[in-house]
Amino acid sequence: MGVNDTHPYDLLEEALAGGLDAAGTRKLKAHLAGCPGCARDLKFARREREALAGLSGGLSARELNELSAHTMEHLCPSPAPSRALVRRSNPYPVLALSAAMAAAVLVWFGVRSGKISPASLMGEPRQAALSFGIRGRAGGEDFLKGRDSALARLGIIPRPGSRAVPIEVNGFESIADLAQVNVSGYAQPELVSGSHSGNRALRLSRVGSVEEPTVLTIAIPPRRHWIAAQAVSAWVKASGSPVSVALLTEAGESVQRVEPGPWTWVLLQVPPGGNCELEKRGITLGLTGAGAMLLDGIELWCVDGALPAAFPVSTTDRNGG
Amino acid sequence: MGGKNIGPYGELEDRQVMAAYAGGDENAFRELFQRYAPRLFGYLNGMCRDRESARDMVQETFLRVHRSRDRYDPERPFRPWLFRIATNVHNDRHKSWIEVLARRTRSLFDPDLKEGNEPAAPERARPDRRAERTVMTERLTRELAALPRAYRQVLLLRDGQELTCRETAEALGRPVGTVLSLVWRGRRLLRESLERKGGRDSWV
Repeated sequence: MGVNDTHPYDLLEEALAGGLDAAGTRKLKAHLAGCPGCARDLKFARREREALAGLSGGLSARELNELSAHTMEHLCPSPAPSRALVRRSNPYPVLALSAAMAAAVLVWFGVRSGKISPASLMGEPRQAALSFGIRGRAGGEDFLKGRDSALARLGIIPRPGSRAVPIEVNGFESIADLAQVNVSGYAQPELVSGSHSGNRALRLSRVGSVEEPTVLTIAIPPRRHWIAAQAVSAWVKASGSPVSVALLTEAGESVQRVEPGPWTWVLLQVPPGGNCELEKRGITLGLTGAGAMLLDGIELWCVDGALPAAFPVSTTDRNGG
Repeated sequence: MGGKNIGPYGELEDRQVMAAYAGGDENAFRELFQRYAPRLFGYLNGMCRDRESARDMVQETFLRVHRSRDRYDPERPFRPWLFRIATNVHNDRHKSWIEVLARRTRSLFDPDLKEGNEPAAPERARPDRRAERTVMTERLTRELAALPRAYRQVLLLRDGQELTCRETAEALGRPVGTVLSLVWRGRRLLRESLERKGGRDSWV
C-alpha cells in the first residue's frame, strides 16, 4: 500500500498452491523469518481460500431454476435487449414511462428558462450547497481567519452559546484505516507519508473522469455517525491537475475545486435536508480530476449545542467560542 | 474448479460445451448455465450485496454470452471470458454515479443488511467441518463487503471462484502482477479486520 510493498507475493501464492520449488522455499522461509505479517497472511490465506472456495451466494435450486427459465425465455434467435430485467425490476412500466417523459419535459423547460445549464447536464458539478477551499498552514493566522469566516458563512459560528466542534472521522494513520474506505472508480487507495499533519495520507493515484468518477465512502466511527453535522472538512492536495471534491448526500451535493499545489482545507456544507447521519454512517465523496490527490484529516463540523449530552468531544477549542 | 458435470456433456470441458452452443446446440447453453449460474451469482452478489441485482446480472451475463457466442474462441479458456463478461455487466451497472453511491452506502454501512445469504456448504465436507466452514464463509463474506472494491473483486474471483491469478487478471483486464498484489493486500486487510473484531484465535 505504499507503506511496505516488498513482500514476495509470487512466492506466497506458489506456496499456497503447493508448487514452490526448493529454491523458492528457501527464499520464502528467509522472508517469513523476518516478516511475521506474511507468515500470518499465509496461514490465514489457507483457511480463507477453503472457506470461500466455490462461493455461490446461497442460490437455491428453486432460484436457479427460475433464473434459468427467465433466461431461456429470452434466448430467441434474435434476442431483444433483456426485457426480463426491465419487467422484474420495474413492475410499473407505464408510470415509469410517464415519469421519464415528465422529467424530460422539466429538463427541457429548465434548459429553456436558463434554470438548468446545458453544462450541468454534461456533468459539470452543481453547487447545491456552500463550499470553501482555504490554503495555508493549519495553525496559521490567515488560515484560522479564513476557516472561521467559512464556518460563519455556513451558520456554524458564531452562534450564541455554542462553538463549532470538529469531530475527527479518519486520520488515515494506519493501514487498518483503509478497511474503512471503500473506493469505486479508477483509483486504488494507498497510504503514504507526507500528510499536512505529518501522519499518513490517503493517496489516489488517478482520480477519475466525470463519466466515471471515483466515489470514496469513508465509514464514520460508531457513536459519531448520528451527530447532526452541518459540514464536512478535509485536507486535500491535488497534483498534476485540479480535483473536484463533492460531498454527496441524498439531499444534494456541495462541490469544491482544488487547484494543484499546496494542501487546501476544504469545507463542504451538508446540503439542507441532508442529515449527517451521513448517509447511513458513511461520508461519501465524489472525486473527479485528471491527476492524483492526497486526502487527510476528515472531520465533521457541528454546533456543540446540537450535540447530545456527554458526547465525547476532545477538540472543543479549535475555534470559535 | 468444476468445469465438468454429469450428463451428456459430463466429459466435455467448458470451452467444448461453449463451442457446441456456438454451433447451435441449445442444450449446451443449459449445461453452461447449470455449471456457472451459481458461481456467477456468488461473485456478483459478493460485489453488490444485493440478491435481486445479482440475479439480474447473472441473467444479463448469460444473455451477453448468447449474443457473443459467435465471437467465442474455443482455443481460449472459458472461465476468464465468462467472468470478464460478468465483470463488464457489473461495471456497466455502476456507471451511474447515484447508483454507485446508493449501492456503496447501503452495502457497506448497514450492519443490519439482511441478504439471507446462507452459502452452500461443500458436499464433500464432514458435517462438523461443514458447519464451521459455513460460519467462516459467512464471516468472510461480511468482511469482504467492507473491503475496497478492487480487493473485493480479486478475492471473489481468485478465492471465491478459484480462478488462477492469470485467469483473474484476464477476467479483470489487469496485469497479473497487479492482481497478485491486490490478492495478498486484500487478504491482509481481511485478516486484520477479522482480528480487530476478535476473530484472531479462530482464524490465525
